[in-house]
Amino acid sequence: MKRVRIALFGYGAVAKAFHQILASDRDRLRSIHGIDPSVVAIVRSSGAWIDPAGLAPGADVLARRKPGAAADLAASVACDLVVDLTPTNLATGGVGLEITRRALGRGIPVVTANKGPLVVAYRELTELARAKGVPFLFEGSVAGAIPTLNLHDRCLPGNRVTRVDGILNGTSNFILTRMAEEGLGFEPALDEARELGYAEADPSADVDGHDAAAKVVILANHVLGRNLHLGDVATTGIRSVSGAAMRLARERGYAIRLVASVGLDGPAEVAPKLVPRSSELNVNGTLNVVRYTTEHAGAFTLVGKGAGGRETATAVLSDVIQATSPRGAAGKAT
Amino acid sequence: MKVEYLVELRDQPGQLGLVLGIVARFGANILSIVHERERARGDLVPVRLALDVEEPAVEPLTAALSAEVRVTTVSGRAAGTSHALLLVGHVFRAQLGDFTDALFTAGADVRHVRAEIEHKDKPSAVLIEFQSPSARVLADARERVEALARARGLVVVPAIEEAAR
Repeated sequence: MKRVRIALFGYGAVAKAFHQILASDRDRLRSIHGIDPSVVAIVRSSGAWIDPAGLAPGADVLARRKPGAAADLAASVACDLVVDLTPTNLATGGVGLEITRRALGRGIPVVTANKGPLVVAYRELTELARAKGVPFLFEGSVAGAIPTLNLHDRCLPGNRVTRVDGILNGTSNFILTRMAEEGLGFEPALDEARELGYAEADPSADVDGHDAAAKVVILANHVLGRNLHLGDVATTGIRSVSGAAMRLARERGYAIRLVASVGLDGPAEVAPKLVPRSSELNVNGTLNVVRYTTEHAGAFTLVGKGAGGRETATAVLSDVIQATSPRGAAGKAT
Repeated sequence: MKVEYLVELRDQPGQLGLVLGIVARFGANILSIVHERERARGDLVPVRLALDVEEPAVEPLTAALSAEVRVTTVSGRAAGTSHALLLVGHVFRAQLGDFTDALFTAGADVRHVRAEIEHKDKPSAVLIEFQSPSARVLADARERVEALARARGLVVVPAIEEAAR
């Protein structure tokens, strides 16, 4: 049995769910994948909790806080894997960028769902990981639980993806769905999204399209081999979509959706589009959809939960298994 | 098989030659060519071309013709694809007619215009549905509309490409 000591950076909703699933799925991880993962460090901006014997999830974790410099621990804490789930900063990469740099620099594999470091320094980080010969995986950074990047990496090496289209932000999709269903204006629909916990107090990353644009950058760089930055994505949010526009679109068989698109060359875009209601891109509520158009086999479309703590945690766990399991990602029963 | 194209050609030298060059490239045999000058729209003259062409060549021939000239019908069926776009903002203050003119100028056919005005002080919305004979015309039409919308402070919400129905 391979013991895997995980240093967990950030302890928000995704990290807590990941920690919980790690504990509840322990038997499966041991028997199918041959790994015995345990969280030996939780590092937040307010301090660190370190226990080489492993930290169980739950409130007692918070009671055992030890003083320690947060980001510096990525350069020193004894672990086999770093999981970065710190808050996203699309402008600078945030603390997650430094954590990832330092961990990869030490030759420690990194799994992240943090878009910031990927948007700011995709090339640098992937090249560093390659130079050090360690996995650097980030399935959870795009479309939550949907296996977008792993599908490409593991299932499509015999084909070339030439274009990616999708709906990559569940919050804006929820707002647009509610506007169409209930005839709500943008502001009331946003209020409802806030009440249900789908939108932040400051919803701009979601409704102005920046979150979706960050995912476009990751998909373009990783799947299409481009070298895009956030500023390269022409981004228009959904604030201008009025109830009147919604009604007209609906009358003529369309939905309005915040569609992300990028190809092998040409412009990358996130913008509201008329989507035929019969289209596979017309998903409702908080769902995400990703469509790969391929060179030799047409299109593949994936629909699923694109956000949420537990949902995204499953993508993180998949990467952890892939990065550490001696039996490979598929595993086998013993 | 016999295929009849109704195309619109600009009333200027070289247009028919352009079409016949394409027809020859696909090995089609010309059965008849009729200019319908009485139905001309401005300097666009409908021309009816009856061809004898191998079946597998029909689709690429239609695409090649559409890339150069406006193909109205193929054996009586409407050619081209339907598209739509929404304009959001103070559309009527922004001279809506200029937008439909831009589409016509690009070679698209505007078929329906629907508007909804929520309140005199609130942004309104206009849905324009149009027919485009080729991808080139569609791209040009969108470019013209988007440039105009930017200049007039409107937001354009175009249909995704698969919206062609």
